[in-house]
Amino acid sequence: MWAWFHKLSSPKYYYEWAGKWLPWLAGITVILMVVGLYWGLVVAPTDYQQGESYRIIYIHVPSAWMSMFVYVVMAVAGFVALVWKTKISEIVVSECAVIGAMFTALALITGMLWGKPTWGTYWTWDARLTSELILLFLYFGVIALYSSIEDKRVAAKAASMLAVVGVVNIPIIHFSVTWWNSLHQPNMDIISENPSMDPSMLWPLLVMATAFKIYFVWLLFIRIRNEIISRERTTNWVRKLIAES
Amino acid sequence: MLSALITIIRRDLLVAFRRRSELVNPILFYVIVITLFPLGVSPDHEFLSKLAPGVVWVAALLAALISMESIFRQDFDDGSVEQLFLSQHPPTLLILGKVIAHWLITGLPMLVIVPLMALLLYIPEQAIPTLFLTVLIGTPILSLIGAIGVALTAGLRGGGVLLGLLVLPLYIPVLIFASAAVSTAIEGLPSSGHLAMLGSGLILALILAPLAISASLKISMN
Amino acid sequence: MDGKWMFVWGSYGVAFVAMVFSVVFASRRKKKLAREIEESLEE
Repeated sequence: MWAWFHKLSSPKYYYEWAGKWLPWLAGITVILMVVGLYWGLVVAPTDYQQGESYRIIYIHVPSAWMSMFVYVVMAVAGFVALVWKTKISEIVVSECAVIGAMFTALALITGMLWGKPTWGTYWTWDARLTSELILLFLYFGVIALYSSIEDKRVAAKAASMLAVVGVVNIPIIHFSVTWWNSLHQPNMDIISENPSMDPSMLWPLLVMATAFKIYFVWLLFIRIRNEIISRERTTNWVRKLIAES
Repeated sequence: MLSALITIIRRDLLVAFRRRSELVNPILFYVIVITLFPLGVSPDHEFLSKLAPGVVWVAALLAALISMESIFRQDFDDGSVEQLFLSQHPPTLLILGKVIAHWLITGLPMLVIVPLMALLLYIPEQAIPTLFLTVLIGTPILSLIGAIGVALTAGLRGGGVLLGLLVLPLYIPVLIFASAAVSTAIEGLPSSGHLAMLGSGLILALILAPLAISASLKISMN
Repeated sequence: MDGKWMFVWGSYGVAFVAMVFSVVFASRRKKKLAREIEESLEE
């Protein structure tokens, strides 16, 4: 087990190992997306309270889940990068930051588009939207720090550190925002985002959530492989690889 | 151990007093930012006192951010940061000493000036002790968290804007609890709960931040 | 059709564009990198 992890931390082995997975990940993502979209947009019944706009949750909720999940993955990778100084985990941090920022932005945009027909306004300083916005800022911080340091290995370590500091702060930020929100939120007619959902509505959500997770792994693998090639461009194995293809 | 802590605090204070302008600038900045709000929004008595807790604290966040750079910049450039790690004393302790010194230079003057700002913004007198306490407990947290950001960007030229991007989101809990404490005090309600929240934040920051700062400095020294 | 469908299509559209283009750009970057390295090899 440990020997395998050790092997996986070598860029060359990782590149080949991840390459084998790519077609599978692509296939599963596409199948699950198609199934989830059809199920969510066509088969699932209309919500009697919110009407059709509730269907936005099939991308909003998975995006929001992913935005947090990716941050945790990034922080764990950052921790590993700081303690064991493995190259792959350093790359995971910088690539996760970009993908995570995308999911967070998606969660915000779809949340706003859901809010307009449901709450009558694109933006409310609702605890979850606010937390999500701050999460986006945290991702931007990691990306900005990583891209402003020239030496990419130092940059990755600094970004890892920031990710770890951020993950310690996220519960505190989330708690303070929720608490702040309960103080200031005027009595608004908020329809809960998912009150105990009917299975006919819940299943497509679970399918979409799985699809998003696998999509994340897929995109992450592609991006990691790119970054490996970019960083190892002077090594023999990359040259051989390029020359052969 | 303690003598090392005191030595480093004294040394940093001495250096700071040699360049007095840097001592005064952050506090001037703080006063000016606060003056902008009545000018930009409205000098209305009632409106301002409602806005005041947020204004005082947003300005404090910005002033803390502006002054933060100086904590390691000079030492980083002349190599004395490396000496911190070569010393026989634990680096986290020395770093804590540097943060304390920095707070004495930037946080303490704010503590002195903040009652005056409260008058400018029509914060009722009964809330001023609470405001004072929030600044007393809150600004050290700002210094501790800010120092992590400075340590991470120490190797960069002109990391000022970047620092804001890294650090301001992490300042949000302090802003929320501190301004809420002042707001409740203005309404005449007890604000000890919020102050306790801030206090536990300070303890947490005191324990964890020196570790993070020392790790970040090591990364930047590479 | 319900007017609310507009918001549904809007959000699905944004998500689709973002997710598909992320993969497309990542694949294009790989080709670009390969070309760059190839050129440096020829030199």
